[in-house]
Amino acid sequence: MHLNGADPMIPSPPGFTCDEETFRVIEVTVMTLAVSGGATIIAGLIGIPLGIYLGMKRGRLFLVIMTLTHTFYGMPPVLAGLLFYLLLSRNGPLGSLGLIFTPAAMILVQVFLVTPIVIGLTASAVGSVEKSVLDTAITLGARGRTLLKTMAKEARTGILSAVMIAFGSAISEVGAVILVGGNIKWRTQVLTTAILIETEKGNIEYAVTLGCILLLLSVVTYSILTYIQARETGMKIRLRRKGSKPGRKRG
Amino acid sequence: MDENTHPRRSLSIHGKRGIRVAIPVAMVAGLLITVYLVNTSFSGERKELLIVTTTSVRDSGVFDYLLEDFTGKTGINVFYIPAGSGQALEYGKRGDADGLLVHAPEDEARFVRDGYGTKRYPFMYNGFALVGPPEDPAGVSRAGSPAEALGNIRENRSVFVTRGDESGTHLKEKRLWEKAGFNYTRDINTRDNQWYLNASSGMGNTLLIADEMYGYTLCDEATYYSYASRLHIIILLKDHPDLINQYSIIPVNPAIHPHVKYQLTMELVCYLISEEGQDRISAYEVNGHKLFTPNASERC
Repeated sequence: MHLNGADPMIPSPPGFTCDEETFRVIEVTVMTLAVSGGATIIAGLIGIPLGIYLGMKRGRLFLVIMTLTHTFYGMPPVLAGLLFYLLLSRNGPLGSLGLIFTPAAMILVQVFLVTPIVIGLTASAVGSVEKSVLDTAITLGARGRTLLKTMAKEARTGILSAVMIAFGSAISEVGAVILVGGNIKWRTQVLTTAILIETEKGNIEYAVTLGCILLLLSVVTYSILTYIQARETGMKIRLRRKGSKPGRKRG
Repeated sequence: MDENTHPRRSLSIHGKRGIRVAIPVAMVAGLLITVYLVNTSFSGERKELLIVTTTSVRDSGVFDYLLEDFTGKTGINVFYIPAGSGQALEYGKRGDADGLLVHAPEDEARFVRDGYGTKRYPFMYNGFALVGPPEDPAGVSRAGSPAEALGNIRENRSVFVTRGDESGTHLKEKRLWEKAGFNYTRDINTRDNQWYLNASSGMGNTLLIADEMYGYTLCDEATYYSYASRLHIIILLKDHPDLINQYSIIPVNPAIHPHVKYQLTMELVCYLISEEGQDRISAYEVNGHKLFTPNASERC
């Protein structure tokens, strides 16, 4: 089949040829990474500062907002999808933006879904930093951005975990992106929705291939997460010891 | 010597430099991709069309086959959303697509009458078929009409798998039950009727479920033939006037939704009903079976 129907977003490099199946696998994977990665970054930019701020608050406001955040953890993605479909549909309040069935709409809905995860996990990570650290920082005159930076540094493992978990749940999400993205071949298809449709079409082998890639992405994401967490706890010592051997400079 | 040359201190700084550079670089790269994607999302000026098609058209591969030729000739890229006819008409009403390719004649007529679409262009048909296990416990193949066959299935309490998704096929099935003298919601689609299974999914999936359950289902011939190699169930009844499956394309009305690409949609419509497009439709075969018969009644 022709490839000029292929998405102009992902130009195939000159001289690079492969059969359509392979090209589609690459295209769908790149789209998945771009949509979920983009959503995770935006969620991080919003959620980390908010989470740190909330994490430093101890009191009623903290409890109220954390309860809200935790409620949004449980937001069924497909409901979020429906909500954003109605919002972005041409008849909806934001319809004039023309975003429905585009990657931008998919990023939006995923930002909505994973930002609470980033906020919640960041807040609990910051909340678990010893209170004396916070007090010391304040006593030493840290305010505003400096205080935010200090706390981010103290809780960096927790924050990184928050981002990784957000990314992990974004790439494996299906209900929301299929409703606002429409699962359009060459345009808004991501790994999960492609698996759904290929299974429905009976292309089981192809669906399994896509599934393996998705699983691989999850494994890589969570391996990095585990490594980061391990470094902060007991295994840090072991890694350092290895690192101090001759020939390895990095600790 | 300043404190930076202290061995432990310099080691830890050295170790972190990688991360300090990598995180902003990754973020900037990610954001650039995101911005690019968002930017390309606004496709207003490009020669691109968004058509909602029924799942059966997608599953049979005919739309890909026609678009290959159309895009080659006109340079118009057509993207399509596979959806049941009910969903397709809803998308059309809301203006979320430029055109609809559907097979639910009564609903299409209402859609156009209500002003959501400019005109209905019928351009091809294929047949529905009743498929089921080769043993045929309900005697569908001996029935004189689809309505009679459905009556036998109900009588026999044989498993029947329905699409259940308000698609054109589902609507057709409902009409056949009515024709057989049953009230669909009262006599057929009830919780007590355990023989009547609601798959709530596309044609391909429904066929696979019917196959697993050794049940009957109503299927368009095109999808059946594309799946035939992995199915045990066979076609038991076809080629009956009640089983005609008419496909039409409807441009969404630009008077209601000014943003739709009416001109480009009309190019696709004109291609589909042109002699050339019609010839191409009749030439399409899957596993040696002709799947669709072109029947456009007018030209542009």
